[in-house]
Amino acid sequence: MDAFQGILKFFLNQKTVIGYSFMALLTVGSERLFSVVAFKCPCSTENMTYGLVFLFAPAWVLLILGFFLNNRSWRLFTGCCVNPRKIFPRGHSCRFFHVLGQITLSSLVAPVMWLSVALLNGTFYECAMSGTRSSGLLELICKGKPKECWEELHKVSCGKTSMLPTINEELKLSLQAQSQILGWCLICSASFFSLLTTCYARCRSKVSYLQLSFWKTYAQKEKEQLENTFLDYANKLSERNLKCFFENKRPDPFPMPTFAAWEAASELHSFHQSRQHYSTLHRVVDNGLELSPENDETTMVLVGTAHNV
Amino acid sequence: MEKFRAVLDLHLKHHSALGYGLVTLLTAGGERIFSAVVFQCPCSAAWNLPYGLVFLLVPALALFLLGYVLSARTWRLITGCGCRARASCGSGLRGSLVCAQLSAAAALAPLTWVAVALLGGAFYECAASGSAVLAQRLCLDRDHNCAAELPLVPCHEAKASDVQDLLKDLKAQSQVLGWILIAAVIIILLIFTCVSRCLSPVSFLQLKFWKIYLEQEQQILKSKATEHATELAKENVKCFFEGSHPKECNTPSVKEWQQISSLYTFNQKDPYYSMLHKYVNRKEKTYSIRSTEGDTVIPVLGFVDSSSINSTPGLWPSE
Repeated sequence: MDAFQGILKFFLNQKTVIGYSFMALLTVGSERLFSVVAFKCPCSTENMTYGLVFLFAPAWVLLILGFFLNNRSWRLFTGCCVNPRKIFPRGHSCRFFHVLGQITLSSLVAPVMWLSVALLNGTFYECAMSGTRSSGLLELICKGKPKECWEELHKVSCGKTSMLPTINEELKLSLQAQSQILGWCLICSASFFSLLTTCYARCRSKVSYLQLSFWKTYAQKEKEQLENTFLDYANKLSERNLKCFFENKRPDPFPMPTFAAWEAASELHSFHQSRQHYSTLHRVVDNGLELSPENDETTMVLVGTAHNV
Repeated sequence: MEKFRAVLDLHLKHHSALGYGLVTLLTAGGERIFSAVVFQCPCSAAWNLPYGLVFLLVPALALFLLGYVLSARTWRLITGCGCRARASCGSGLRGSLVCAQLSAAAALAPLTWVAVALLGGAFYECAASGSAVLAQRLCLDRDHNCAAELPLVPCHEAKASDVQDLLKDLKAQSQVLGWILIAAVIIILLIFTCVSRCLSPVSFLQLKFWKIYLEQEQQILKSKATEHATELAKENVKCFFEGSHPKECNTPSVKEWQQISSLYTFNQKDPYYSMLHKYVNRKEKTYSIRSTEGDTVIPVLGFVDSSSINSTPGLWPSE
């Protein structure tokens, strides 16, 4: 029982890793599903369009879904037209693009995973490349092959060319090999790039390692407390309202944060070295209703923990 | 138990995402069953196009109407519209904004159906093989019999093999169309959500609190209404059987129920979280909250009208 608890605790501590692995598993599963159920290369001149749509449309959908499910994007966009000064404060206009860039980077994870898995599989790329009409690519693929290759390359996936079956098979295998090489290159470069950005962000961090760990714990706890308090207050307020409605009484005053307080608490957080506030709420509560202090330093550090509140 | 709570929290947080996901899965499952069990292309020049189009579009229409029916906001808009004065139905602009939002939310399931049906390919293959216009384009460099044999292609009955190969082309076209539809719908959805959030006069945290408040109000309204109804019913039945007079019961009047059932409007000066909240905090006892200066319908606050006593908190996402 103790060992089981230990294992469970270990897994619960690795939430991010598990989240990403789950995403990877889901992507692999759906890619398999696509390949088996839906994808059939038409073996005609439309190969290229077909293959490219199957490669990039799911990636696009995953990217947009990533935007939707990221809480930071809604924090950024809510109320931005009504009060543009909130996201373009004086002297810090790039902050909006900075945060947007971070959101885009975290949303890019799923599409890149899909692309790598799809390329490793090989069928999509094979179909798309066999429909190419560019003479440069055709020369590269059909080098040393009979001249039918130039005209009939698009039928290679279905094995219906007039060339020998061995040559057909060779062409298929070489296209699949190219696809897998591309897939591995994508995985390698994506992981290297994410390592570089994380290192750069950590390098530029004004916050030490242990304080950063504390910060993450604090953010998590504050999120939980906020949700519990919301539930509590919502419960009390609705009880009061319904009681007054059904008993036809006047309501007692119920203290709630003002509009300005809500606005101030909803801003995106930026860390300021001298004041050491761990969240916008912390800053608002300490300072009163001060919106956006003078010298902000936007922190890049919390790229991985972008899913707060 | 904690794991279960974690799953429940996930459900409450990504409420609409899970709702949309469920709708997509159900529609995909339904489409698979339909095309495998029910659909059989007639393979005739006259019937292919209408048959395919009917199978593609009629379930979409049914899902669209179902979307309207299952949304509590529709009933809030419509109920009592005929009896009350026209003004209370919502002035032209307000009513049409609400209608537009309702239509957009109801359009999601039919679009999912059409996209999944196009990805499957069977319906489009049948419809396109019966279309004369498409036959001209597809049969360009082929047999002179191509146009005549094209309707037989979905049943694998075309004699010329290169005409039969057109089936793969048709399926490919169908799937490309399906993916383009999915990509277009999702980007339009993102743009609309961003724009409505951008125009929101309410901040992020307050919106979050607002949604939680509405869920709580809905639950408590349900339990209080049940309690009140039970008391009232008990009293009435007791008095009926005992032949006595019922004691004074303080139940809300028709006018009061009407006031809290109207469509929610947001006022910057007094931001209340629901019509009930507005009514309870009104200035004088006889003051009507129907429409005051400064009341507007905000797109992002559409979820306020979705609460009702009977429906569960949105299997049907309406945000």
